[in-house]
Amino acid sequence: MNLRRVWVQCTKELVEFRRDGLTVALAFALPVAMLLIFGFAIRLQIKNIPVAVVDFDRSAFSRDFISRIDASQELVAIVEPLDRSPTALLDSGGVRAAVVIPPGTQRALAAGRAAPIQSLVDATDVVNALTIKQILTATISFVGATYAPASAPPTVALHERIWFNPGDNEALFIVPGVYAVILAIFPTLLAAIVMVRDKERGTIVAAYASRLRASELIAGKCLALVGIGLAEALAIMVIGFAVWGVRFAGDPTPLLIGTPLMICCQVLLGLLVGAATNTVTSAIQAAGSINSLVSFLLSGFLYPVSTMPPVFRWFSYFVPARHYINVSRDAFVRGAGWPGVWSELLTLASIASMLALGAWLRMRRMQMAD
Amino acid sequence: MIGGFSWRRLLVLLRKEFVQILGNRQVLYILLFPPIVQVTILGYALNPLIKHLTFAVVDESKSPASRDLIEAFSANGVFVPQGADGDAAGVYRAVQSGAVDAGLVIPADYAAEITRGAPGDVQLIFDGVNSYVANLGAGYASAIVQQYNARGEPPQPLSPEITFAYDPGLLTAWFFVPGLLGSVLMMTGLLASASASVREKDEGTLEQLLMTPASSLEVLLAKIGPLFVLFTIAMWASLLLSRLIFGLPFRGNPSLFIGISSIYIVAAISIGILISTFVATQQQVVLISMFTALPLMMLSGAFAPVESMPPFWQAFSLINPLRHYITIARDILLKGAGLDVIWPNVLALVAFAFVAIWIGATRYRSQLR
Repeated sequence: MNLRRVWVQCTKELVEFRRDGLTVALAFALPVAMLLIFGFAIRLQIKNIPVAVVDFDRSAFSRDFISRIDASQELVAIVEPLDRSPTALLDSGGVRAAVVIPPGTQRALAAGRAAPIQSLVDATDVVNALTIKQILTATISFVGATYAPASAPPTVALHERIWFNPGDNEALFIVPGVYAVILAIFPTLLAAIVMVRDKERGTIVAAYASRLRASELIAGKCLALVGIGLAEALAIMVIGFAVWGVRFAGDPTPLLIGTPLMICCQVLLGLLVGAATNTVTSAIQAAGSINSLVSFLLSGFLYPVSTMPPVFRWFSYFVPARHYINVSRDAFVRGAGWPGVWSELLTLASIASMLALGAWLRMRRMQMAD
Repeated sequence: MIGGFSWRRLLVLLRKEFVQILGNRQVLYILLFPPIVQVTILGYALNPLIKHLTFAVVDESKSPASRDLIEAFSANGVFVPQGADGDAAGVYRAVQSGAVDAGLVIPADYAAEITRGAPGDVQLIFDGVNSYVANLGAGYASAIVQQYNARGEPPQPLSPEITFAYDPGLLTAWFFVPGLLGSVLMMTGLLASASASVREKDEGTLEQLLMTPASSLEVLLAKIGPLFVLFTIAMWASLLLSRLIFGLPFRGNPSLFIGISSIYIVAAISIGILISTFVATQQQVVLISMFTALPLMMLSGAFAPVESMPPFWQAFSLINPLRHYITIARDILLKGAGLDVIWPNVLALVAFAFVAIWIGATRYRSQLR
């Protein structure tokens, strides 16, 4: 490999990139805008879910129950007239659950007689449904305890604590994940387009005809694109700090090494896709839609990897964002440093070398596809 | 527009577009198969219900009562116990390094407290780096302890009887498939139409096309045609596979769903064409399309609930066609709802498709200047 030729290839890409002013602006403005949108808008903790209460009892107990539901962050009680059936309430789509408090509930409670309270929960959103069930059960037993004859004290008093994010600030969970997703999407797109555009315009023939080797071509383009990716990473992390105060929780060196590795993986993936496809439309489909969906959904950004079926857990080992997300969350939230994430960095490095090998195998003949 | 609308010209243009798409096998495959595969595979893979949370446990009480409690914690598969090295500090270290998801500390006087008749204090620490897992885990743990405390007691007079409607088996695939279907159609439809339209500009054939007597509307409808057919096939194949694999119900009116899906697919394609009229190169169109498609997807309720978003973004999502389509798809497929319930969403979707095509047609001719 001739380093001078690599460097020339790299500067050629950068010059071409810089000449297209709008693309430069987009390459930086879009990741930042996406960070702001996702950082502010994506929240997984359920909030303000409307729950209909049909109150036949109209007692102190039922009023307590309703105000207790309202006091929870998750649910909002909506008192409905007595002639509405729970099924009709759910069918109309306005509420996610319907609770019926039958007449005489408070009297039954005081007398120690059975007082069933029926609820119908919309299970189209399964997580919502289970959370609603938990809150309804807890609320019913809490409020019920004050109206029923005294019972024995509980056996266990559970003291739960959530570490690293004591204020339960959800931005601290979402934002470091968004970093990984953005670095999975934009560098890959740019790389795929750089590669396939040369082919579609036919300018790649000039490179094929020159003394440039495949390894030099790939290394040169990769260098330029990783440089651009690093600039994007810096931009979003500065904004993340300025807007949400997301700062290093511990040793930053794993992140400083992991970020170039992650970008390298994604750029090589983009180059590989660009080398394997012939039109921009196909390249975008592969590098754009498939890559971004996989990075979003199989990386642990929203739902944990550990709950997926085994096949997908194994597959997710090949998703760079899955590893980088752990590096990023560790650097910005947990702060355990090297002992916690060394294996993730090693995996990222292996994925990068596999992709580099793949791109080289694909390109090494330096000829037009048949 | 020149010379009004002509069906004959539209047919000729449609033929040109079909030949262009069918002529490139790679494009054809890559537009048709990934959407189908993504909907079914991701529908199978995604599971928001946490399980197998590993917890380090230290039992300083070493009594039958404490073993009983650990047993209760590990009974239903949500929590999987892992022995820790010796003392509470070992548990803290395990949580600190991220080796386990949670840590349970049962102090030495646990059994003694219970025999005294006081509640035995235990400590449960969660790794809050993933606050979603930590919060759900904390909820589960509270429920487990609540049940544990109720053992042996006479049954509480007040008994909640909770029934799950529409998806009584709590199959998460039923929740994800409509969302994935809408997301994948939006992403693929928008990207494909945007890049195909810009290509015409890139290669200079757009000028030729606009010099013909065809009106912008005819050119635009012809562009939408082949993609519309492709994505309709992809949609049906995805639904069929989801029905076979997950037993996805189809409780509502099928023709209503077909009609609305067609409007939605047209809307997705039109957004792509609209984007293509604003940019000059492939690189720009790809960046902007991704930038448009991903937020539409993530802020639609497909994965993260709309109700949890801040009020501003909830209001913003009202102009998101995907949000309306997902609501409609879940309502028709899972709940068997009819137009009387979903009409506001349908109205929004139709309005959106019309506006997108109208602006697209207006801008299409002027983009050369």
